[in-house]
Amino acid sequence: MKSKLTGWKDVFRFTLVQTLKSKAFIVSFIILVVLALAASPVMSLISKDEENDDYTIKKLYVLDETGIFDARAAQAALAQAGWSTAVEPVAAFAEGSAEYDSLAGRLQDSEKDAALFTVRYAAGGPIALYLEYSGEGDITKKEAGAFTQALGEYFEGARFTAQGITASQQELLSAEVVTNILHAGMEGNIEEKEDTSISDFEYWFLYALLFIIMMICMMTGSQVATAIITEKSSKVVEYLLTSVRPLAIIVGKVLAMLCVVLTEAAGLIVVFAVSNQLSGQGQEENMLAKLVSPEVLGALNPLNIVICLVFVGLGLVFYATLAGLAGATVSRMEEAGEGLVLFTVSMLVGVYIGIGAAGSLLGTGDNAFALFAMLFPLSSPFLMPGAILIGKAELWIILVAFVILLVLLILLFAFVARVYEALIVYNGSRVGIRQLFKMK
Amino acid sequence: MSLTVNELTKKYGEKVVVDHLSFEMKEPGVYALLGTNGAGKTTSIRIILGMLACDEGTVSWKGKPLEPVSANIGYLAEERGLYPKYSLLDQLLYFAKLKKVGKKEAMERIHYWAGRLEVEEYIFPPAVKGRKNSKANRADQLSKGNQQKIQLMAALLSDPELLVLDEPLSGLDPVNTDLFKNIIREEIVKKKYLIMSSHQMPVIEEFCSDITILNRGKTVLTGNLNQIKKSYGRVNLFVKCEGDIERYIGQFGLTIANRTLEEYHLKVQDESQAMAFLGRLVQDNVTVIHFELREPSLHEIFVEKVGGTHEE
Repeated sequence: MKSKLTGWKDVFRFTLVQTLKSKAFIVSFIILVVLALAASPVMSLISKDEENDDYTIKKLYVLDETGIFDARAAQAALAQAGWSTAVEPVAAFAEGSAEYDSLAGRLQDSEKDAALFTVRYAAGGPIALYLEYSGEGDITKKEAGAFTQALGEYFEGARFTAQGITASQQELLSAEVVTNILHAGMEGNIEEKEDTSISDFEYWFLYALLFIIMMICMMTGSQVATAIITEKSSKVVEYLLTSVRPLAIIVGKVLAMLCVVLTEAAGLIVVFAVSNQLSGQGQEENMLAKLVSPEVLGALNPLNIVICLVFVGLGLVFYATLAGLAGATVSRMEEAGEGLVLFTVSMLVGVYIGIGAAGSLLGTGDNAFALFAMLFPLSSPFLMPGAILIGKAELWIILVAFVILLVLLILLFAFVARVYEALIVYNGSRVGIRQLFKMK
Repeated sequence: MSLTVNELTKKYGEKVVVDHLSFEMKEPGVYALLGTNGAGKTTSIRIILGMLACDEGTVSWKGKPLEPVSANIGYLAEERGLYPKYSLLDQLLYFAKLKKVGKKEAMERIHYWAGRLEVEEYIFPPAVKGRKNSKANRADQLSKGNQQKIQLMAALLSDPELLVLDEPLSGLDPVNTDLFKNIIREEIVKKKYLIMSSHQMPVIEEFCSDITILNRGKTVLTGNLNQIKKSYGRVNLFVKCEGDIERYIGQFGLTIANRTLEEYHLKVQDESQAMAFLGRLVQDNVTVIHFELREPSLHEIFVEKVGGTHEE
């Protein structure tokens, strides 16, 4: 084994340095760095409007067709929510009437800090609430939404009050009804079934992380396959084989490409983090902190990060080795796509199982499919890191998934090395999967 | 110190591409592997170098199984290969590093061989103000001949004990052919072991002491080139005379192998028949301008052995 690996470090160093020096890498990295630098400020800029927490609505005209709305009570409710808004009822008028046009004109031209709130019976019975305001003033969409919500909440209560229902009766009527399933245990004790489903935010967090890992995996895979095919098609490999064994070449290449992609990813993360910090200066919290829920950030402890990185690294090596197999089976760059079919299909199967498992965790909580997805070596590299960070993967699951992935990786590496050794000077059409298994 | 190739056999399915190939190099020199296209020369070389596994047979170097990774072997492949986009200097340093040659020594050797092969301007392109390099320094910017020179440099960088040259002169112009030949001569003088494969028979005759001719994987002729030739005898007669000598050729029953405007290439049974023929010409006062009796050339032996049977 030692002699088979002799020289892998030289292959690794040369491949790494040449790839980092290549124009293709430098140009793509610069583009990605620019995007990472710009991402946070651009997102800040886009959401600046949404972040404005000012209370700018100073006057509210109320057109109430139901007779339920009480201006004084509404003003008090708004004050409690933060708005010091004067509420002024107006006589009912139809949309498109002269009175309506006059008020709308004032809102548009001179009273940009005022709004019109209309309460009317909509066709078919429901009560509809409308808020109209000038789009050219300081009132933002976010404020308008929050303001309408506060008015809606007030109106919910006002409906009951108008029917003579007391506050305690209202509370009873509006109380949430929760259903629970209880199981009788072996010893006769009653066990309550815990709700293990994940939140919407956790689902999207899992989804986003899975997608990022998939992207890195694709980049690594295509880089490894391309490097191997280039060496075969340019016939350099014949020269290399007088100095190093095929196993050393493939190990050096896979690890070098892994380093390239991880360096790229780490560089982008650092650039994004710096950009995020700089663009968040002078604000209470930066863009990332606004996007990532505190409950997930709370799970970001050093141990979890290390476990995640180990899993991601192992997964990347696994898929890069699969891509190496694809590279070994073809001799010309034109056949690269054809050769990468096995790699792409395996990765997509893993990704879709991961997405399905995330969906099942959102819908039903812990389930057999999600457990399978965490243990299955094609999907575990994509799902497990996110599951660890949201606290969905228990230690035994992590350990079993790790062992399964590691064992499969070792077997795959031995297989790929054998195929690579057999096909390294092969110069024909692409070798099929059946033929690969027949190789001595 | 010797190289022994013993009963090498390689099959692809039912097809035997190398069939019990055996030869030995006891002394330094050049051994030629000859054969038509597809005869199994390159496959044999790849097996000897450990790139391909064989189904049967062994290769020994200095009495032990040949381990190319640990032995100091230089190889110039038939299908030339360099990284197309990487700097030539970086590639050569990398190849030297794989051969365990230190960076300082590698640089010295690269300078030496770059000078010998007249490729310094590509490996060490002079800097020009405003540009990183003034000249091409990547393989994809070089001509085929210059790429071949870089490859030969890569093969020689480790000062190998065993040098394997697969079609070293194919595609070279006459000037570069002489350059390569001189380097091969120097390696012979340095008592190196060389295995050479070539379709250029005069080159083989010039350098090689021993040969093996392969046809469809099988060894059809093997041994010392001089002895092989001697075994054929001096049966090639080249005659140039003033006036027509066809009458004499007919009288002696000689076969015309080839005829140009001025000269006949005749086949004789033995030297005595040739001498009798010459005596008759002199006796009849025919002016003989050129009379040469010699053994068959390697080209003729090669054609005789594989002609009409090889795959096109």
